[in-house]
Amino acid sequence: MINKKVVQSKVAHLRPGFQVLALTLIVGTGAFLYRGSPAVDQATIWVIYGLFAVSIDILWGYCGMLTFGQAVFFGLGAMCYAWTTTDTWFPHVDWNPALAGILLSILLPALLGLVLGYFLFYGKVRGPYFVIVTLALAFLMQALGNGWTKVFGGFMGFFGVPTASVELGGWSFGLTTPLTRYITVSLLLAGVVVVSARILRGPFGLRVAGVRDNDQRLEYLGTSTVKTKLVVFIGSAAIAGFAGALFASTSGFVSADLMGTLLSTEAVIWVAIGGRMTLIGAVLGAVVVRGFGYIISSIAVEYWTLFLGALFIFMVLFGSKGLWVIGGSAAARLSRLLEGRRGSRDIVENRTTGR
Amino acid sequence: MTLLKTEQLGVRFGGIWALRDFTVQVEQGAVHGFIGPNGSGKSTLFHLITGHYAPTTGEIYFKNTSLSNLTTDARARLGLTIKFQITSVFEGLTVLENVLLGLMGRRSPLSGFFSGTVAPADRDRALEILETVHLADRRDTLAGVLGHGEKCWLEIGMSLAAEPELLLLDEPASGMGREETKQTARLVRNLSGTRTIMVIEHDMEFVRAVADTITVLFKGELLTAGTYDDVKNDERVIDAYLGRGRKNG
Repeated sequence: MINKKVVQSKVAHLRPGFQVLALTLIVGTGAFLYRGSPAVDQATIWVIYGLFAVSIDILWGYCGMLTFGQAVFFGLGAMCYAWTTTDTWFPHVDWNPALAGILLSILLPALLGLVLGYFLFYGKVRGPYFVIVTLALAFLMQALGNGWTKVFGGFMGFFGVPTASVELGGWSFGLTTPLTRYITVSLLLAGVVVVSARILRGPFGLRVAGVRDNDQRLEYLGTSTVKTKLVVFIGSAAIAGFAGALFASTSGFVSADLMGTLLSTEAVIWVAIGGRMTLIGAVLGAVVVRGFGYIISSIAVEYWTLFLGALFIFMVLFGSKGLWVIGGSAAARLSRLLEGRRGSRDIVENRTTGR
Repeated sequence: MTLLKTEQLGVRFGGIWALRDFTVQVEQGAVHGFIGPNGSGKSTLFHLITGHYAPTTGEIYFKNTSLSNLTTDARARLGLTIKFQITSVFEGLTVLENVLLGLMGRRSPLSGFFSGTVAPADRDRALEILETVHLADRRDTLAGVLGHGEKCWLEIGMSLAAEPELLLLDEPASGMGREETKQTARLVRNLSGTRTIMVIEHDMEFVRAVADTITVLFKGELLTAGTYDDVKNDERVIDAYLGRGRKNG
């Protein structure tokens, strides 16, 4: 009895991971049935965007800091991967390019997050001012990337970025087929979601909620909101950078536009549509918007942005809680309805017994 | 023993001294009341102590340490928390979560980072505090939907949870009815003893019930200090409250 309870609570802790895996299973299968392997490769990108959306949800949904510059970290992560795998600067260094790229894609954005966050949060930049700074950052990095050809590839970007193949000891792992890529990316996403959800459910998550709700009150109780925000900002930057590296490995093409405003703002829309403050909602938003985008683009490209805009306005007006929450309550209502039909005899019996 | 003292403390906003040349000592374990007409500098004093305002002149010493170079949160970690004049709680969080945030206030932001849950001991302690502030049965209610009096108590409970040595209460009974005011006075009285409390209040009944010492401020300056009876019979205090003390225009 007790053992069963322990097992149950462990499953409850892993639940966000299972939700993510169930979602990716459905999406992957759907994509394969729709257009076969090439569609699965597309779906891999959507799942990576889902991971990117998670990084925004942590910062915006949980900590209340809206950002229009998150793609800076995503693009920088992608650049890191492209630099190490298409390396021409250190030809004599013997390293594992993919692994080094992935590590760098986590560390460098985290470092940038630390430096930026330090000045922004100690400088008491908050609310709309924070949003504007992040937007300016995205413009800046995009311009820098497009201008500084030698480092960021300029308008041409980096072509032919190889897919990750990691060799450790005698063990090698290559993401050579669409299916292995899709599965690996899904598992990594689930892992990040499980760890993030655990942190956000614990004492640190409560502090983050305190920052979102009333950061001044929190400060007067002794918690350094600057440090709390900094940890969230760095963590979020690291996740975005990691997603960027996965993107580079999967798509094989990296350009400075990945660091820019377009992807930054679109990703915020994913989170708004999917649902803030549920990590799975952010993933859902990214996958649904990009998935529908893929289907609609193959029918009529010109209507894609129109569709995205209409969906965003619709969600803001009628579904500010996001698809995940709306879907959940709709499912609950449906199951109650079905239950009601099946259980109508029970109700009659209960009525006679007076319950 | 003196827990907190100010020396020639003053702050100026534009041409107006909100507080000027103010020296006071707060004894450990005492309930120290601060009264005075509106705009006499009581809340300003509290804001200077918490670090919300920086003083123009003078120093504040807490536990014989100067507070000058400490941020708001560092001062709170040193052991002083405040209930604001305008009640401020985490409206979107539950009552229990509010108190838990107070409880965790003096710890490192990263304590229990990967634990995934709030420690049972902390939960128990938080429930104990909710018991003292009469909110035990509202623990899962969102703080935003509490009544005014309940919010005040929650804020006191939250500030209490951080285990402060000095608790600042800025008008804890404002806007409360008679019964609630009495209850709050009893609560404040019960909290004293181990803790030092500085309290601002306009309700003289309340002040009489809770305060050991009273300091009277007027126009940003110290007018007089003493016990309730000393202060009550002081001509200058009566003049100040009745508005007859305008010697300097």
